[in-house]
Amino acid sequence: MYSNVPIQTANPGCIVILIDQSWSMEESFSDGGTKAERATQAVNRVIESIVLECRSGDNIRDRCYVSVIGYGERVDCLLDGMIANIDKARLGVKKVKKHIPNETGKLVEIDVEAPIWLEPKASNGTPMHEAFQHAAEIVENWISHSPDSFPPIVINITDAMASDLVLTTDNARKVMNLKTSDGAVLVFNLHIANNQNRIVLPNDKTQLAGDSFAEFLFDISSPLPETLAESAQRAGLPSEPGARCFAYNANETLMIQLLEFGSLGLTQFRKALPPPKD
Amino acid sequence: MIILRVASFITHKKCESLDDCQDAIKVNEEHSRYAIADGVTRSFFPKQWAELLVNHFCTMPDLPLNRETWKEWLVPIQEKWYKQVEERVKARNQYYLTNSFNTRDPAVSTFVGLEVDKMKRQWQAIVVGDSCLFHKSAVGFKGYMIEKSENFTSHTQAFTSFPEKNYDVPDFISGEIQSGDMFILTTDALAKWILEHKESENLEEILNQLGQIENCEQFNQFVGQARDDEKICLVNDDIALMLISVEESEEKSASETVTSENVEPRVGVLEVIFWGGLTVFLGAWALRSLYRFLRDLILTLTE
Repeated sequence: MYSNVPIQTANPGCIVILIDQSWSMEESFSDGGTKAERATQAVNRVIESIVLECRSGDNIRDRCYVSVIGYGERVDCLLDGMIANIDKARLGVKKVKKHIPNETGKLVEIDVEAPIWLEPKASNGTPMHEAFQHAAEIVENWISHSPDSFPPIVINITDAMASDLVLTTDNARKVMNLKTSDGAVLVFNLHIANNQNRIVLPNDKTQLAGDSFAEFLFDISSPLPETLAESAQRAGLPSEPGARCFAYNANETLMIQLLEFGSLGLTQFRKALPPPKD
Repeated sequence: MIILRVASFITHKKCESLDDCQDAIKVNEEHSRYAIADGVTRSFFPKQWAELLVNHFCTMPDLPLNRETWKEWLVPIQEKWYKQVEERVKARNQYYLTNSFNTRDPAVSTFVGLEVDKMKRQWQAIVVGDSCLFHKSAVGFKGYMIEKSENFTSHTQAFTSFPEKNYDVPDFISGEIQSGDMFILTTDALAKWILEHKESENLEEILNQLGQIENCEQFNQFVGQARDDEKICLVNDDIALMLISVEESEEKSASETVTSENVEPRVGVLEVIFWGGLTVFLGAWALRSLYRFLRDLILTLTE
């Protein structure tokens, strides 16, 4: 189970990202910008990372299926398809500055191109239940075609209470109960907030201090399989047995860390680059 | 004098093509040098780097197989790789290439290079990462540098395409050979699979199977069966395999290396013999016809 098989053309992965686009995402977040802007930027970044993982020479191979569902004023499937087509669906690229060490080790500023697939959006309520229903349909369809793949991963980024708790719970559990021969679908919930009381991969509801919204998200998050605890540790996310794929009051750094772990850390390739040594 | 019989094969992951294969393999009969490399998939243009490594090892006149000079040995091919990649990046103009190029993302590859001195009956090798060299001799079956299947992990040491990013020091090994010895050079997936069979005390059967592979078709069949094996499953990865058998030459002065390189289009030993024989036959026939034509022409002219 969760055999950490590589994502390959013969065995593509499936990643579904749900992004909250309700009015509350208009709130300022982190060191600048709104929650909607920072969450959108993080999703753009993780899609770029998936593209890079699927690069073979100067081409992109279809080693992963990606779907992004936005929920707010409407529930929209913003992106959906194999990664080579997703790459072509980008809205554009934005020049950004980056500091990297040159051949002598000195930091130099260079221009890099940040691809954009999604624009930030924030309005109306939080129809999370509809987003999970949509995710269930995508995942069901995926499993019917790829019954032996690494279990699909569903990552929900939100900052607020769902409009319908009962339906959201039902639909999220429906997703969590779907399985490939390699294990059950993994549902991650990333709750973002400016609150400093961060809770990462909790394994017990008592850690949530009676916060009913946190308990609700805990309940609709998959248990982190023990076989994947090592991957979490490697990603800088230590966990206890029984940990849930859930972060509460995540700041921007933690949101990016969990998003990258959920989408790439679990389904890692056979080999990573050798770690730098001092 | 000894002779070396060499068979080499390469294949790609299931559902991919040979273009996507990041492994490389090279034989130089004249210098008795043999190399394999396994480009790390997620690195930047690994296939080009793996090919440069094996070609450089097999073709350069003198090998600096020591701890002092290996970094310098890489410099010319690091420069070649940079130029090749620069051209391709400019031609494609895609963010996922230009960003990696501008941020100096390296190509990364494991490597095994073996050189045999047939006169002295000695060998020396350079190994970095989880591609393996196996030496079967009267003493036993020895693996370099990994000896247990559990030691294959998701990380590997490697040569990289930028001098400032070469963190791993290769291993330099050497030994003696005798008639009846066999070398196996192979990349991680098959190396792990061989060690798993050794640990299941099934090594002899596996070595016999490998030794009987003569052509591409048989190799692909072998790989397909091993990938489907429920007991010991060969991981779906690119695979490079080179088998070198050491034999005593019947004529003391003879020196022979038979190569059956299985890079597509792949040619087996029997095919080499067949096509070689056919070429000689057709050549002789053409010469005979030419002789007869000229003879008849001269006779006609003189009459």
